[in-house]
Amino acid sequence: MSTPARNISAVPEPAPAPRISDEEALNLYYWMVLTRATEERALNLYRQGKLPGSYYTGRGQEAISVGMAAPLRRGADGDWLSPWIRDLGSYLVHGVPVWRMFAQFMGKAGSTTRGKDGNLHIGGYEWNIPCQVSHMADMIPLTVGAALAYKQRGEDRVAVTSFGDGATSRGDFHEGLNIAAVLEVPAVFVAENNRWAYTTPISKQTKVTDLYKKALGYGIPAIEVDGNDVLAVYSAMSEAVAHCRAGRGPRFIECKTYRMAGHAAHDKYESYMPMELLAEWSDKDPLKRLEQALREERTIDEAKLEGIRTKVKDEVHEAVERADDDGFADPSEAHLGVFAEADTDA
Amino acid sequence: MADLTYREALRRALDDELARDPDVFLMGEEIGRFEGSYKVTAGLWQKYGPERVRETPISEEGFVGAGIGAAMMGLRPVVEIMTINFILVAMDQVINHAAKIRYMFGGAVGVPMVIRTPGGAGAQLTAQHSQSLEAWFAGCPGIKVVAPASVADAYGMLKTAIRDDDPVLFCENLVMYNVTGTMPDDPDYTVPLGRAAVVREGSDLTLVAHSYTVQRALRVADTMSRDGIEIEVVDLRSLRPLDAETVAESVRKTSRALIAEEGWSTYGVGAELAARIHRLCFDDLDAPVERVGGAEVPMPYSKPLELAALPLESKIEAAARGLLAESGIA
Repeated sequence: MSTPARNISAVPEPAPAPRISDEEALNLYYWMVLTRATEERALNLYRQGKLPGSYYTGRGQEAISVGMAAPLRRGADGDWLSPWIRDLGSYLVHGVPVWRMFAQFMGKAGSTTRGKDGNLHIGGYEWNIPCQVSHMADMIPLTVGAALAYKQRGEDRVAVTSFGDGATSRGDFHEGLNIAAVLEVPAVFVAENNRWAYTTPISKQTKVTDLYKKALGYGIPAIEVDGNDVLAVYSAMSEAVAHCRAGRGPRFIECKTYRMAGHAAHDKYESYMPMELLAEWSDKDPLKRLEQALREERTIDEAKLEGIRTKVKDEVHEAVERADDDGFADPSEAHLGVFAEADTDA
Repeated sequence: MADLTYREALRRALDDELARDPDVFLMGEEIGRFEGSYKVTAGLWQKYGPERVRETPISEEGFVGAGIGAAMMGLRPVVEIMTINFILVAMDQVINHAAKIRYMFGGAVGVPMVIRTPGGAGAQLTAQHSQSLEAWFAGCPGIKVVAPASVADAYGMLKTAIRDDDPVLFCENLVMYNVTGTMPDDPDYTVPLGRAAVVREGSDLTLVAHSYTVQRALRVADTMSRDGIEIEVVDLRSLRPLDAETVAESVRKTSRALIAEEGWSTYGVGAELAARIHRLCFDDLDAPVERVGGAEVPMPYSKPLELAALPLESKIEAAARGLLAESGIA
């Protein structure tokens, strides 16, 4: 007698059309507008020479950064969220105040790392966001470990991490996914397939350009969603998080999107990115699409949307002022915090 | 006092800590039913079950990273890397994550994780399986590196390492596993990290070593004692934090310092200590600080070649005699 085939790595059945209330949708809109405004302002500050290093924008990927963070529990006892470099919105939604993002970019004392790390290498225990050592798949094994801690303690918390298509070529990605599947931990992996890793297009990165298929290979239920549709990302994420909380093991979501600029503000992407693709994806801008859905499908008053945009403008303005006014940590702090006991020889 | 092996002392420390703290758990390859490649986890899987003694896929980068994540969330993972040679594929996780997270979080979150791993040479395991890489890690701030050389220290330091709030690379030694020694009966016995120990007193020369090389150093001291030369042997025990003061105190007494290690001398433990000794004891020295390490080659396989590459007692003794001759003692 043959054993009946058992489907261990299925693409999950699409969840029944979720009812996202107008209030929820407007909340997502607020976070997306805030994300974009924060990034636009930060990019300007960089261009004015007021932010050191470089600037890495997530423009065009706000639907993912906001949609994946919104269903999570916030706070030190909430869900672990380890977003990658395009997900400034995730940090905001998960609790990091806007002014502290600017303080982080500026290296001020009020930065989440007290000036010890820069740009989107942000972390804070109060938000359960691990500090980001590298976004190149490094955080995947750590996220698996956090999820393992929750499982071991019987807590219904979830650990989430996101990464780009380039990260799927790294060993950490494969080792992390494999261990997550074997240990059946409550982790959600969000792949943001924006089709570019620095100057390398997805076609030169991998032969399996549908990234969710890689997760299926490890026995992790995986789906793909339209990464420029925040409602779709939010629904998929809500469903995946519920799956994890129910103790049913890890999930994987691939969000198909497009990187709307260079890897960083310093690279001349015009030299390697086809301009017609940029134009095509510009029409699919996630913020425009949500606005359209709010106005046309939900008949929400334009004045209400304008109100949100004005509120955000004020918030960002105040945040930059506060970060500007903040001081730098005392140079003596450079020598502190390596070990738990302050007098330990580093 | 009871006589037991280094291996058994480590096993007891793991057992005691698993029993004491429910947040402690073990993770690694083949450590469960198979009881680990070197049987340090013998009986623990049966006693504590598969969640507390967690077997993993062959995936060092993955499970070291998972250990870090679990530690950040408050568990106390004790990760076994089968030998220190295999940690090389997980270097990014050890150096870029474990050693940096407390600092980069502004001190708020630590990584209370122990990585246990044996190193050392002498069993004809060849170049990629005979290395003593601990000095590489000790060169990096943010991770403690210890290397016990006795049965009592193996027990006492492993317990302290597990209770430590920072990452600890706990370097065991393949040759040490079967070495026997005495251990205090006190179940609360612990040994602080970062303190060297004078394990043999002497007046003519200070010989500093760590891990299995301490055993060699003690044998050299016994041999030379027959000629009336008294060597003081300092067991470093910890490479970071480094207890340079205990070494300096000894050198102030003997006026001569020799550092022996199984790893390569170049950029090694001896190089670091020589710099510290020159600064702390410049006026006390009767001869330049000397070092003996493994030959600067990948470890060869055949027994005669391997012996030629190891820092054997004969080489340590020759260096000691050279130092004494240089400063006027025959």
